Amino acid sequence: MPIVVNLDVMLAKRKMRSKELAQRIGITEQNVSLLKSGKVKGIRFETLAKICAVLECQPGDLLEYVSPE
Amino acid sequence: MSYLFIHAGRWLAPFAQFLAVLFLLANLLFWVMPEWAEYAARSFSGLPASTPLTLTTGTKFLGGGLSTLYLGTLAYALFTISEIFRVFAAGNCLSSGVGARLHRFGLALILFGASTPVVRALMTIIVTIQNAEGERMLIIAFSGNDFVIMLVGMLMVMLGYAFREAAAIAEENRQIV
Repeated sequence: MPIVVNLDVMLAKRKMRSKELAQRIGITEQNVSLLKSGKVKGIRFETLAKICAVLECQPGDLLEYVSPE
Repeated sequence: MSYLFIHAGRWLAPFAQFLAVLFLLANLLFWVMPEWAEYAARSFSGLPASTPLTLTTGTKFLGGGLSTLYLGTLAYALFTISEIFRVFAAGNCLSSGVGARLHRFGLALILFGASTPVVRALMTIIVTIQNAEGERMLIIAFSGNDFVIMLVGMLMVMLGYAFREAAAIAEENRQIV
């Protein structure tokens, strides 16, 4: 998958644990973990907006395109 | 999934299995009991009471075998819907297994509906073959019910396909956070 999720990097920058993020955006810790590892097919705009609001960042800070070549 | 579906699925699954076994056992019993065999022969062949039947051990064996094969299709369909009810009882209605089972149920119904005229024709031959010359019969008849059963079967096959598509979409949706 050429889309890389940098959620773990942003969490480290904000010194926030996955558990706290999960509680604040209203999804399960397991889903946050799946999101961090990139083992999801997609992310809802609604979830993305909540993460951006909590981590005070832009979608581009969380998602990155890496060319497969 | 609603509680009603789960609750109904729990008791409909064994009920469908019970019906399947009951059909097969009752059919065998009808052919084995001398006073009931004629009723079974007339039911499957559609011959009126005025037509004479000659039921020997051989014709009863053939008639019983043919009707068991015929009802076996229905029993298979009932066992398949029993499996569907069991999946519903587990609260997992949008699984690809339901679609595959609906597909199989539909195919069984199509086979059951399509085989009815054939079974009717063969049964008339079996139960009248021992009659005197001139009293042997062959009935080729199509009833509206046979076509309705086949149409419902086709609908079930299509619903099975739609269910599998829906299950795939639901699975994909589960992987979106």
